[in-house]
Amino acid sequence: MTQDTYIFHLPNGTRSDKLLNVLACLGRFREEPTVNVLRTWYDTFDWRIHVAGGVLVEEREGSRIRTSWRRIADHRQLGQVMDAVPRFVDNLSPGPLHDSLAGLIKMRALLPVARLRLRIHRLALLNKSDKTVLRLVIEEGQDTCGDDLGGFPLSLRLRIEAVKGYRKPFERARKLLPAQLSLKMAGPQLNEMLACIGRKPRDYSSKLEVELQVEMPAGEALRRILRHLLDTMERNLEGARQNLDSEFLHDFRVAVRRTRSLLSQIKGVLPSAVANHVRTEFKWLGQITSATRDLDVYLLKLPSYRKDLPASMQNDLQPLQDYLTRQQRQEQLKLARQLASARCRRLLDEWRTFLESPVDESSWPENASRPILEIANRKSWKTYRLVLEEGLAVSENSPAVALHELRIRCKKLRYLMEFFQSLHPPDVISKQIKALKGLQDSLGDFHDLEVQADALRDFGHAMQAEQADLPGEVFMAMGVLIDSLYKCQVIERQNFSGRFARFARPGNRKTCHELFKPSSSEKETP
Amino acid sequence: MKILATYNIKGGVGKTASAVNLAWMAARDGIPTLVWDLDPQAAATFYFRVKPKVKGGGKGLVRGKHDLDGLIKGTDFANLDLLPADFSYRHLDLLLDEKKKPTRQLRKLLKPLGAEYGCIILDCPPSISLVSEAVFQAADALLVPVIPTTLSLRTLQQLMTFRAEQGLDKLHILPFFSMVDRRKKLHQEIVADLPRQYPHMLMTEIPYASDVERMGVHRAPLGSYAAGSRAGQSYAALWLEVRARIEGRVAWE
Repeated sequence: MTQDTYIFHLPNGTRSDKLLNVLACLGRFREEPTVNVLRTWYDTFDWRIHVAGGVLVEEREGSRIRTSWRRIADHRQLGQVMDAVPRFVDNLSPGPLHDSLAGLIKMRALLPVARLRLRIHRLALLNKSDKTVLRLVIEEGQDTCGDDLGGFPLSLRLRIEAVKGYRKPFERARKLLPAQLSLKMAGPQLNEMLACIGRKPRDYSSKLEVELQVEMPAGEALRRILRHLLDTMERNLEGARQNLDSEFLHDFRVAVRRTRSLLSQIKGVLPSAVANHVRTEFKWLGQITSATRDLDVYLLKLPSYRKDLPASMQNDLQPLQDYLTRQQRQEQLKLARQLASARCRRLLDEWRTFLESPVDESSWPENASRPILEIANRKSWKTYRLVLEEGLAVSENSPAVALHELRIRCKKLRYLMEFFQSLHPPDVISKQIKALKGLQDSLGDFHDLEVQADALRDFGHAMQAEQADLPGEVFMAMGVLIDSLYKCQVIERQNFSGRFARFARPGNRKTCHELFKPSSSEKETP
Repeated sequence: MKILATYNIKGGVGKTASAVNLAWMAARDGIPTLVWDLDPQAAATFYFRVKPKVKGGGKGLVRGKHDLDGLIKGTDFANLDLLPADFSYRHLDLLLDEKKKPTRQLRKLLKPLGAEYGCIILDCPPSISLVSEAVFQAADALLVPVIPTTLSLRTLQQLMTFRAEQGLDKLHILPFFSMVDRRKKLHQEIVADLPRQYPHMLMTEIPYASDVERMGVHRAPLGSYAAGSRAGQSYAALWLEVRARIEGRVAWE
């Protein structure tokens, strides 16, 4: 597709007479009144819009507000509405922009990431009929807004925009103007704004990506992973405390859980007194965050619960939604207090101090200086074999608890594979992680469906106890849901053997053997 | 994408002024909008200062020799494009008749534009013809300007009858009063009476106003030079009614 917009830096101090002389070569222009614009870029905390190759920009010009979604590569507009950016995409006006963004952003909040005040001069090149055949826009960065959403005033920018069906004047302008005015192509304005405050787009991802080297001492490697996890907790703490959206707490909890898993699975590398203490404290942190997360999950599931019901019953779940919302608010208040508590702050601060202090070899176990590959593979291989062993032992008659235990074992293996993925060829390890994820999803669904059915029953009792005169329809709808969840669980149970067979197929076994099986000399190490 | 058509069997009722002004407002509200000037008189094309010429003419268009997107011209206004008229459109009936299923041809041609435009407005020539039937198949709704006169009412009735006879159940017909002169008693009577007969007709009346006639002098939509005028405000009110239907907040009929 041909590009319709080019943006150049106009050198600061470009004289207006020189600019006008060059523009005169193109033809006759109509100048529109200069306007002041406040431009704010929005994205989710994990940059979902940017990862998809776009930017979401809100522009306020007097009383007019325009929100547009543009592709970064060629500045092409993918959608727009004449509204401000709402916190959640569900509150965006119905239409194509809403529909496109909804699948991308899902439950995440749209947060401002950069802001700039601009003076904008618009010029239209006219043909003989006084018809616009080309648009030029000169953007003059004025200042930032006294908040932390931008840096210093930016250089002047010249935007050359084609008018559809009038390609020749556009091609002429985009060749002539840069040559005559010594213009350089401008990069994305958002990047320049963020660079001024020491940031860059996509500077947060919930993915665990820690670069390790195979010969790295295990102590250093673990500290690196744990520091990454601590960073994730710190970055999500404030969003979780303020409940900006439910994913802050989710990512915070995942980092806590990964920390606990690493501390409990890789023993004998960190000083045991430290490991034991923080394990207890992170367990506490996991516990105080679970009630709110559970309620978040049920609130997020409500739309799909509604869809699972016959159309005539879908509105009957409203009292359940009201109940969950009330409970979530209460739990969130408690959570916010706990996350701001001295105990939480002390844990995170002390943990950082420990992770960033030089290793005192005298107080660290001997394993801390062994190569990480050896330590990681020994544990991964052992856990992998247990997953195989326990999975093969599951039969049609096995109790649910056997699948539950296998699920936990798989989770441990998944964490190990993710912690140490950089020690292996990326395409090989990611294929194995994917195979494991398929099995985990099945086991997770089997377990979650039962948990959900039980929770719905508990909610029903609690709602009745709280408000005796609730309409019977809500309990009937919840009953239908519980029944459907149990039916889905039966189907998931039947799917298990196929999923496990795919995970444990000979090719995957051979690959895991090659990836993780320690050499015989390593097996003898303590 | 919603496809609207400004249509009336009768000529000189304000179809083009409505198409151009509503399209301008849709674009101003951030909806990428296309006007297709189907009338060989090319009045909408003139208002947008575009040459009334389409590469390959109506023949190239109907025979699919030229990609519709490549024939579109941007206007002076952001978000608002035009597919110009061509004098050869006077033979559009004959050209459509050469095709199999002629009444489905416009819909087929417009389909690929759905990704780019939120709203397409077809400015139709007067009369009832094969082109009109193709418009009826393509459009979600017809916006029918009605001058409060006996003859204009008669053509509206003819249109309603045609829809019923042809079984065009999915086509919505939204009449609205146009070129209303409140000084005339007949206009007053019809404006009072017709909504009883057509309860779904749009409530806004477009007055008979010289500002609308001056669109030919300014060669621009009313909103761009006389938004505050009585006619300008009437078109704005009409657009709000149409927009509510496009967005599904109000039922079409």
